[in-house]
Amino acid sequence: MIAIFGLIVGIVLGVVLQPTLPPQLQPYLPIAIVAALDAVCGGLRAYLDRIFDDKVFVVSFISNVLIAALIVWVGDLIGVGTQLSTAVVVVLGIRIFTNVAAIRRKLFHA
Amino acid sequence: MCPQLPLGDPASRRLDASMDLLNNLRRDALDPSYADAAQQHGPRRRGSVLFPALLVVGVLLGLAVASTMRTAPAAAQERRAVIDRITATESRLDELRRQAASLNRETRELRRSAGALTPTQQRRADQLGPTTGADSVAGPAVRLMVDDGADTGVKGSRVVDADLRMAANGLWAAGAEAVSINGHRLSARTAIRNAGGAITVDYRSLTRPYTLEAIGNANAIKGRFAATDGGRWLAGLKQHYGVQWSLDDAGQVTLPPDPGLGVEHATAVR
Repeated sequence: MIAIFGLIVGIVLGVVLQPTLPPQLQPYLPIAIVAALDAVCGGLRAYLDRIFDDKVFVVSFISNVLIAALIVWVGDLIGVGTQLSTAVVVVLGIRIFTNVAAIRRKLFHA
Repeated sequence: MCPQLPLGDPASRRLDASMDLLNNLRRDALDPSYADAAQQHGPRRRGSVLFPALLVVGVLLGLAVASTMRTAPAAAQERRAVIDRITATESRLDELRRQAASLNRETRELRRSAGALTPTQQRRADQLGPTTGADSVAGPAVRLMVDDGADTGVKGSRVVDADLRMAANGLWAAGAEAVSINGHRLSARTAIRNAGGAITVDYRSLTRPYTLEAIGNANAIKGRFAATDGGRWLAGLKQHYGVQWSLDDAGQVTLPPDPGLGVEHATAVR
């Protein structure tokens, strides 16, 4: 429960404080958020399956965000930024959807 | 999960082998590292790293939500900002016109009191003032109201600059001594034109309905207007396009001078 509390506190802090990202990083914020959401959904599903490991969660979270941002950045450099960003969002979206479906099954059938 | 035959087996190609990407996505949606870690050192519950990680996620989410909410009404804000600038510029323009008109008046008074002109010239200046639009004029007036046709679907039912020009010329021809449109005095230099969808008089946009006031012998003007070119033009507009117009008495009216006359040649008095 402390975890969920941390999430809520983070959202409130983000809305109230509105920390300014350096302008070079601002285009990658949405993709970073989708990657972070994917890691969070994976962590939640692992928690419900009782195989949650915080080290794996943090590593997956950081690597997801970094790799997604890196892919989009490289795509911007070679000129296929929007297409690669679409691909990243599609893949992460499918993963999020799968995890949330599994969570739903776990919550309502367990 | 469907069982998989070992690779290399000729029968190992499952029917949905071409969907491997989607299968992989579905299968690996939950990071396999969780299962591996659980096998390695048993279920390890939350550590101290979870809270900060979720805090960071929350901050990112909050930041994105806040920035989206901030930029959402951007288009409406820009439009409002442009409208505010237009209103501010128009009021500044009005203020400058008022200033120009009062400075004109002051100059004329000074010229008269300084005796810069000979009596003949002064008389001529006083005569020309009202007719050219340099001086304000008061007197009995008629009011000509022109408006778009009620049925906007009819092509040509909108009033354009040519219609107002014909109407003004018709009033002059009928004996008007001073004419104004929506409060803007017509002078020898007044331009009545279209700009975008609006009619502009002296580069000032007008909104409908358009009111032309003409000072002169009201009955004479009313009687003669229909026979002038302008009167016939407006009658045709009404008959064919449904443009609405009416010519009535307006009682005593004062028309302001036109501040846009400008000065081309000026010589110092002394």
